[in-house]
Amino acid sequence: MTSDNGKYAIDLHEVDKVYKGKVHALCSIEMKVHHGEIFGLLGPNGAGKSTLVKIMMTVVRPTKAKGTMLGQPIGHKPTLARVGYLPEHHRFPNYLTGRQTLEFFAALAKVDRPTRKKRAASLLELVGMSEWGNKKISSYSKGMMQRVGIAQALMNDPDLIVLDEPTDGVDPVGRRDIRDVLIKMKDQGKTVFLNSHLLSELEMVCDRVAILVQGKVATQGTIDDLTADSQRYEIVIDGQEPSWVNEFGDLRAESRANHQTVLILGSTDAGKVQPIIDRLRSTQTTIHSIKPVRESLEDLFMRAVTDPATGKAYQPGAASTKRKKKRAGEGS
Amino acid sequence: MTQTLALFIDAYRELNARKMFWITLILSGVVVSTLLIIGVVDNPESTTSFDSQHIKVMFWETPIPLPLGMDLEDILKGTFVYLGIGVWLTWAAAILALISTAGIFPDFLSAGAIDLVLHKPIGRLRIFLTKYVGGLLFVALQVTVFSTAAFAIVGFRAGAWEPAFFLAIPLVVAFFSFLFCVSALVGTITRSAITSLLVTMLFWVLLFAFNTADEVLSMPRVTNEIYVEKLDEKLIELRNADDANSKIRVPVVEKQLVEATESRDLWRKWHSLIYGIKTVLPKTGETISLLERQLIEKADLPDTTNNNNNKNLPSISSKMAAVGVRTADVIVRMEDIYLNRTVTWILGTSFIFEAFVLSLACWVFCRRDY
Ligand SMILES: Nc1ncnc2c1ncn2[C@@H]1O[C@H](COP(=O)(O)OP(=O)(O)O)[C@@H](O)[C@H]1O
Ligand SMILES: [Mg+2]
Repeated sequence: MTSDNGKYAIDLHEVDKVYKGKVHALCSIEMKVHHGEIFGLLGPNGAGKSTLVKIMMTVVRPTKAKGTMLGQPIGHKPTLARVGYLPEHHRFPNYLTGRQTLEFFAALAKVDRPTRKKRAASLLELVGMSEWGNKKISSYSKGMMQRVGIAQALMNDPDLIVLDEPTDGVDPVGRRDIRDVLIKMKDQGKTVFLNSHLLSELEMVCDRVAILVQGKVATQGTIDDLTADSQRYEIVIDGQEPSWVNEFGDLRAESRANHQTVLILGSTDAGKVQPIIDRLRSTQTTIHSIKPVRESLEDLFMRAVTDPATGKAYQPGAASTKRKKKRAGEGS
Repeated sequence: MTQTLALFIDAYRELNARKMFWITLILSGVVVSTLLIIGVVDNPESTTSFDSQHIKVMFWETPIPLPLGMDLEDILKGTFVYLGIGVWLTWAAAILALISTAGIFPDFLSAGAIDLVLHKPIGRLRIFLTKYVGGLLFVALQVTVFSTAAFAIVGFRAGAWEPAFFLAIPLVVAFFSFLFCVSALVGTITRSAITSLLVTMLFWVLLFAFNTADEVLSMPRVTNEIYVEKLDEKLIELRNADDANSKIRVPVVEKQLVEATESRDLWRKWHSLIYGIKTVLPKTGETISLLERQLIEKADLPDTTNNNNNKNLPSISSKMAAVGVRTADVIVRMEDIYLNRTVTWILGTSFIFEAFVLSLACWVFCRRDY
């Protein structure tokens, strides 16, 4: 099965989408997702994350798209039998029960009847909805819908799972449960593609991320790689900036409140810290803390969405409505 | 196959969840029950054979005498055809069906719902067509239940097991599909149940208007056609005659003929125009007439459709009457016009219309970004 899956689980080239009404939602997207990893796609509202996912799921027709998914060209319908998808703001028919919903959508994915029955039961268990399985969807809360939605995406035992904002409207416990499910899927060798604007979440589970801004990939890679440049040591001391700071290369000082100063060493080499400690101790300076620091995903994200020319966040998406601007503002 | 079956089962569940489906079914039951309570009672006091038998409703004898030459079987079959099909299935139930199916496509296409189906390994065309056929399920189930119940009741009560009753299933479904395709198209484009319902209703009214115009215009057309023929005959007769009196009348009749020909051509033009428009539109009215005609023929019913037509008798001026234009001739020829419209024409052109509207809807559905 894996032999015909291609080198990458998802390998996109030159994906372009112009919606009717001239919204240029995606612009020459290049993106690679490896087999068996959890991949996170970040971006402010309206960046085009959902559009990209919908193009892969054949829900939206691309203006232009090259590349493959599970070894088959984008838009190849039969491949979708091996893909699970949870759309953003999904709405299940409210006349069905949770179990019927799972079985119905599995049938559409060509899963045979006995398998459907068996999987529906085990997946309801997995997402913690066993007790609700026989109740109507109309009685579910947002978080429950999300759980059933994830179960729905797993009903065809997919090789690739694509989730658009899976933790949207889910409480912290639910979020942890969902994370656990994702990690379990990864352990089973499945590839997970995740869309989210909740950064801390992605940071915890993702192997690699891409940041999408205004329809363009701003940056992509492993979180380690992307934040490597920003790795440093921070030493917090009492008193003023020592006069000898300039004697060390890579070292700079920033004063803080409470008469404290932070010395920042632009390196993660522990050896380089030792002479500085010796120097500080020799001048009887009190050292409060020494810690290696790296940029968080949020810093990375903010750097990507900030226009270097103006120092302000890019206007969200191709279209810019007031509402979206405000929402993007909240994220910062 | 798994997928198609799943979509059909879903269509059934969706209907099942709609109250309107059950309301319609209950009303169907009420209509069918008229077949149970209508009866015939002997009237022993009667001296003539005319009103020896009366129609009975439950236990009450009505003063309505049984029409001559009819028995219980005819009364029951007649009730099925004129009340069950003519009034209930093709008007009241059809409206209820349009109301409850108007939301099928808008609901299906709403954001967040359509994504769940489109990303499955099924082509968009197949999804759309399966959904469409699923929408016809409403009417198919209703007609099947209704016809089967009527078949059984008439069978048990009058001992007449009439398989022609089941002809109602395909023809009423076809009739409904001519309207439902419009509902599906508008629902797909606008994604609004209300708009889709309103436009479909308007369309139905439009069809009705064209049908009426067709009927109304056919009368002066036929009358004038016969008038021209009669004047032609008259003219030949007068020209061949030798007497002076006839010679004098020739120019008079010639003038009449010119006028009559003009007026005939005018009516022909209008009637042909309406006929031309009707050709491209679906023939809902004629499809139902076709069904009624078939049932009347197959079930051996006395044909009462003529009596209905007599309501609007052609108006024949004294000038026309003078040259021998007869009401009966006009009626016969008008009926011929309708009888000459073949099943192929009625159903064929309607299905072409449906196919065209559906292709348009499919095209919109398959090309849209959701
Ligand atoms: N069906 C559509 N028709 C027209 N424009 C759309 C449609 N869907 C999304 N867009 C526009 O495309 C841009 C990207 O939207 P989306 O992919 O939903 O962003 P994200 O998921 O990153 O928030 C937005 O400007 C949005 O307004
Ligand atoms: Mg989105």
